Amino acid sequence: MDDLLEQFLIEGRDLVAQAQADLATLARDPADARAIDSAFRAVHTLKGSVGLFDMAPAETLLHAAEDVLERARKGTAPLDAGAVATLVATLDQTDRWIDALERGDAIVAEATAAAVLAETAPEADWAEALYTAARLGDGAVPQTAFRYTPDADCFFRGDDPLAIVGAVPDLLALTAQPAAGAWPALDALEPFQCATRLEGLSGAPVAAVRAAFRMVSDQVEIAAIAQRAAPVAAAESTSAATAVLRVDAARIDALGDDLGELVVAANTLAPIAARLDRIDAAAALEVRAAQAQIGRSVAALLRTVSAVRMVSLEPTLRRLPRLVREIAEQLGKAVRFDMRGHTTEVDRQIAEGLFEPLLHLVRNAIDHGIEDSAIRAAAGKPAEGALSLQIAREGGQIVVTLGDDGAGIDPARIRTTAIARGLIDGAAAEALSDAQAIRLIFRAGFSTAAAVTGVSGRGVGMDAALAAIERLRGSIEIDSTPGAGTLFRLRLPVHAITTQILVVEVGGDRYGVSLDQIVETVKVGADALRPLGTGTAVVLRDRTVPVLDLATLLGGAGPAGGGARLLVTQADGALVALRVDGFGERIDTLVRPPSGVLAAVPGVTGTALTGSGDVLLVLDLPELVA
Amino acid sequence: MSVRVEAGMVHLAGRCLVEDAEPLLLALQDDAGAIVSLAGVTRLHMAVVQVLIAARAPLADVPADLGAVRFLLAL
Repeated sequence: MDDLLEQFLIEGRDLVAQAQADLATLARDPADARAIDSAFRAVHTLKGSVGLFDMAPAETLLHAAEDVLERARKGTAPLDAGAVATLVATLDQTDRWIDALERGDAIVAEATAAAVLAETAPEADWAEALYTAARLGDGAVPQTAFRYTPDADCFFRGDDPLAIVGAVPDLLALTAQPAAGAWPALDALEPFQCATRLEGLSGAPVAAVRAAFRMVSDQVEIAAIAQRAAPVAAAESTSAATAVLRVDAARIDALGDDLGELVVAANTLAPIAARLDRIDAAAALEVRAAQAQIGRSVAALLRTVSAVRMVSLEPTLRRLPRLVREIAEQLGKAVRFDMRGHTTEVDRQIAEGLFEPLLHLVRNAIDHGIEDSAIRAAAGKPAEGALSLQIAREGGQIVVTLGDDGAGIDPARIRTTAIARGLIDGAAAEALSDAQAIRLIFRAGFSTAAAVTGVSGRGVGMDAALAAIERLRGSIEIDSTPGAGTLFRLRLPVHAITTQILVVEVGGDRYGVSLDQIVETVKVGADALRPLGTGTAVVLRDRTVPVLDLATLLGGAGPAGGGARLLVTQADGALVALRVDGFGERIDTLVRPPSGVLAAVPGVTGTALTGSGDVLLVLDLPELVA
Repeated sequence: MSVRVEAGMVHLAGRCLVEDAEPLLLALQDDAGAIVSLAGVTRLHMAVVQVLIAARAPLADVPADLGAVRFLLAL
């Protein structure tokens, strides 16, 4: 099959689905500006795409649908239930035509679908010329052009062409031309004969302009104006689209993997140079220079490939507003959802992996966070709960903040529930700080809902959401104020191909630790380590941090005495220091997911190759500590 | 009568209907360089506008609110 067609069959159906989803929203709330915008974009893009194929009836129909949505966007003709139903029928028809195109059938115009939509008119050269010459005010977007040539005797019949033109809605421009091509000399001008042709532009749709001229329809030509500047960013022109190369995501992944190998290969030069130093210092210098140059090129290449893998979060998150409405409706809650920064670009892997856990947090916020209207009213809050999602980039991370103005999380209730569920005993629960207690919601088997609802209780808990985010090397922070609401803050890396690894030495072995998981590395004297209960602790910046021994965690022997090197990480929202024997180099490398036997070993994220070709186990510190 | 002629000036006023086109045309034929003042005009018929445009008459005191006509006289 032709590549272009194959692409269109995928994209076209996506766009139909997108528009249908928006229309489903509009069926509930025909004034939903976001849905109108989104449906408009989808229909606009779809119209552009069908133009590439032999689908003229679809193009005409979608053009009409676009007009209807455009008027709704500008508020000149709000949608009603009937219009939405018609638009749904239009897209169904388009979908059938796409099926027909795939089968190789002819695209036959369906009069029924076309007739119900507003009239359209062909575009015309004179109308384009008029548009080009017109001095339009800011924000004036003509949709329709008219060329009215009143018949010469119209004055005798009592017609005033200007009065008729005065009835054209949203008149944006008007010119008077001599109907005969040039104005007659004054002596030859016949004052009771109309010798003028009026041409003008209107911001109203074709049908409305045609209605204004209905008494003189035989003297008027009406043309649709093609939209010049793309009214929305997503509505790219077809010529721009051809400049975009669509590549199978798997190939980009393969490119990323190969590049990861190249990074590793380039890292091998450093130890060679170090060995060569002892034999031939000058040659070692040359190798170092070559290494530096290769390093720079590889880094540049890495940036380029990373950029190629970057995608906007928008396609992933565009379902979210509708899902929020659906979930809220299902739970009988009134929720206003606000989403910002959803066009932020992230690595494809992150974009794909973010949706499920985020949706779970959203469900959780609507189900457990936002209270019923009656409770909200009693608390003096607006009846409608507010849920906001904000996505922002901070350096190499994206920060996804989901906030609600609901009841907040009550640490006491969480403790009680966790004890009741047998997740923790009473003493341990009391020992937890409020912040730590709140994090108990991430424990497997935790659910505060007295009744398992159809929405939140699907067998996937908050623990699954956290695990999914951690698989993306992200973290979740919770900030909750009882009575005022809860804020979930997700931090995720923007790029995902290579990971910066710190090599640590433990019990004679070398392991890798992702830099993302390291809060800091510190060297302390033996006297800084103090016994705390059965364990050891260290005071870092006035905070007491428990110290665990990494060798012991990995099943080896305990440490020797003396000073300690500590790797400080964050687990379950609290700082934990891990004692290691030494810190090695930092490398930028590809971490391969564990396979085979390794996959079953807890606390291992994967394996990485070092510059010298050794295989490092990359540790997952939070999991080891937990 | 909405058309009044002074030296070098033609004054239009009030509702200028189709019958005002001829006296305006005659006035402009007599004095091709005359300035046409539209002070106080509330409406202009196509026939009158056609004369003004064809004669390329210089205009003065064009009222702001003349509906669709504003596009034609602003030229």
